[in-house]
Amino acid sequence: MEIKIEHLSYTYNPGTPFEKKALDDISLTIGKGEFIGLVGHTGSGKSTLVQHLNGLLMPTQGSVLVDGEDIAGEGYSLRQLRFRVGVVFQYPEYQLFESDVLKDVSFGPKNQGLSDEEVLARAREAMRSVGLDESYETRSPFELSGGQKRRAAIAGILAMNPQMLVLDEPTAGMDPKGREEVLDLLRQINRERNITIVLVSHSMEDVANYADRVIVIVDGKIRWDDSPSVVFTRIEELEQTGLRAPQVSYLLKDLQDKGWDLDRSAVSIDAAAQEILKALSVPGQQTGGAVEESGKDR
Amino acid sequence: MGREKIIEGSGLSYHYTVYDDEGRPAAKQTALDGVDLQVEKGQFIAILGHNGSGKSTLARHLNALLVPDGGTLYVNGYDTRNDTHVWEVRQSAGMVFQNPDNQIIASVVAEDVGFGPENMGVPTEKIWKRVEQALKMVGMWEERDASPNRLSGGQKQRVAIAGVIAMRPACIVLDEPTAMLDPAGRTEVIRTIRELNEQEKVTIILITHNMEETVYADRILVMDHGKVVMSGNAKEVFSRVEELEHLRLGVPQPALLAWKLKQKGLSLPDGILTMEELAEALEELRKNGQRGAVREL
Ligand SMILES: Nc1ncnc2c1ncn2[C@@H]1O[C@H](COP(=O)(O)OP(=O)(O)OP(=O)(O)O)[C@@H](O)[C@H]1O
Ligand SMILES: Nc1ncnc2c1ncn2[C@@H]1O[C@H](COP(=O)(O)OP(=O)(O)OP(=O)(O)O)[C@@H](O)[C@H]1O
Ligand SMILES: [Mg+2]
Ligand SMILES: [Mg+2]
Repeated sequence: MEIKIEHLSYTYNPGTPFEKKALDDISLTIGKGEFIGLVGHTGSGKSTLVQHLNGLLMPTQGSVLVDGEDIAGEGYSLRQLRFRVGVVFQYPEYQLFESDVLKDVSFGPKNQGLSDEEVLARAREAMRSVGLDESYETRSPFELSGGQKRRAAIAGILAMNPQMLVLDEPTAGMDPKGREEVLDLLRQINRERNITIVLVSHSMEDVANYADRVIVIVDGKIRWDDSPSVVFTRIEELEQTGLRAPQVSYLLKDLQDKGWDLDRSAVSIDAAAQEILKALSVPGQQTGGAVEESGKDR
Repeated sequence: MGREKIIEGSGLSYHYTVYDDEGRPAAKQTALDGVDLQVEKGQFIAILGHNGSGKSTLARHLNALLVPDGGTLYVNGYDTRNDTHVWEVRQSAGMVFQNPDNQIIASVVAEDVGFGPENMGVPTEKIWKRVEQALKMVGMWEERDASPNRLSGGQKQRVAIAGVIAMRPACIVLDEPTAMLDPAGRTEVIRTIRELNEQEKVTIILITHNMEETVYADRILVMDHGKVVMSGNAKEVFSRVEELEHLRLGVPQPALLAWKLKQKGLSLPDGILTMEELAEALEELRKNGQRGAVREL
């Protein structure tokens, strides 16, 4: 599926003293199988934008076209759309409501009209994939720790097998291992099943490591829409918008300022490590060059 | 030695009661399992641990929202089990929780921040001074007249922090205060926390999943299944890369990159925690002739 957003603007509480234009003339196309990172300062409009992707919010101006069809059109089935575009909300507690975790995770697939066995199989698989074992099935979702709630909320969306997964800060509050597991899972779903991923995140490192395309929102407008290595090398400009570059970008810039000959477009830890090793082992470079057995490391 | 202790916990244990469908107590969920915790006035303590390891449960004990069902806990000298002291305990340890939505009550930002001091009986003129200071510290002064429910997650969290700062507690316990903030907000909050600690000598207990935020702490505690399993300064704790991974944690990005470079044979010093330190160490390597730079490839 392809989602095309055309000149979308959204205003909260129009015509009241609390009127707030949260999105201002946004146009973008999300193609099938993309892995997009959506970043922006707090209050920039990320959550407002992603709620348009499954029709939870409708544009004040402009349109959202799913495979060419306007979701605000008469007779358009938002119900069907919500099965195809799964959204994990920023605050998971708003997504959990059943009396136990298994029921909660089963809610989506059950509504899709699947058989009981299928629902159970889907729910269990989804729980397993976010690291919740059987012992959690009968636990109340409200009596879980913060990170456990987040896992349950993600499982509930995964269990619906959507064609597009939109995750609003899915790893906030997760322990580092859980965060890596969830992001790896998203990458796997994206690569193996060609599911489109839209990841909203305040972690520039996560976006640099996982996304193929980064969209930067500033005050309700798109500022940049490009590859991570292009967006994240604009360190000063990013900082002016309340963001920053991934940490390794600062290191590479620092080294470059110190006279190192290296390519700053490496934005992940592994790429940066390779760049540093390469710079150190080029023979005859600068003051007496580096390592003799250059070129042996990849 | 032996500065004044603000928190003294020994052998703390806590079990949640889990109820069945009919609302009858069905089982016990262990959340704390023999925790010893000693914090001196003015210290900056960071707490790490996997999801469900007991961090928030421990935090809820520090302002007597929960009381231990085993062991003892004294906050500012008050036994938290003694409910005649609940007020003193709450005033000693201010809390900032994970989700800002549950903390903001007033319909105007400034009023919300003034709520705590007002309840404490601070005179009106002083309240507004405190509100102004607190809001400026978290960069939300401009939004003082805004309605909190119009704010995004990150903005709300900064207001919640201001609300606690305005009460001037001896100790502030922050449970993942930056989880929803953008990088600038995160930097600002951590800077605010450090300033409160260094300049105002406020005791800080910071719970976080962000390893970078703990490098300035005097001491880091690592929790695992209700127990404290590691304790030390950042250099000590983050040198134990494999153990931390086993505990579902990680190390700050600079330490990770240094570790990876070492695995590739670079002879970098131990204890690198920031990108500045790493850049200097690498520059040292490059300058000092390269014979010794790489052990083996
Ligand atoms: N229900 C609402 N009513 C009025 N204004 C709102 C509402 N929700 C959000 N806003 C405002 O709209 C703007 C965009 O908010 P949004 O939640 O989309 O930002 P965000 O980029 O997701 O922020 P964060 O990173 O903090 O989650 C903000 O100025 C916010 O204050
Ligand atoms: N209200 C509750 N009822 C029953 N069990 C609970 C409740 N709150 C937490 N628990 C359980 O107690 C244990 C400790 O939870 P706690 O919230 O203290 O963990 P945490 O370290 O703060 O985790 P996180 O990093 O996810 O926030 C977990 O196993 C959790 O499932
Ligand atoms: Mg948001
Ligand atoms: Mg917690």
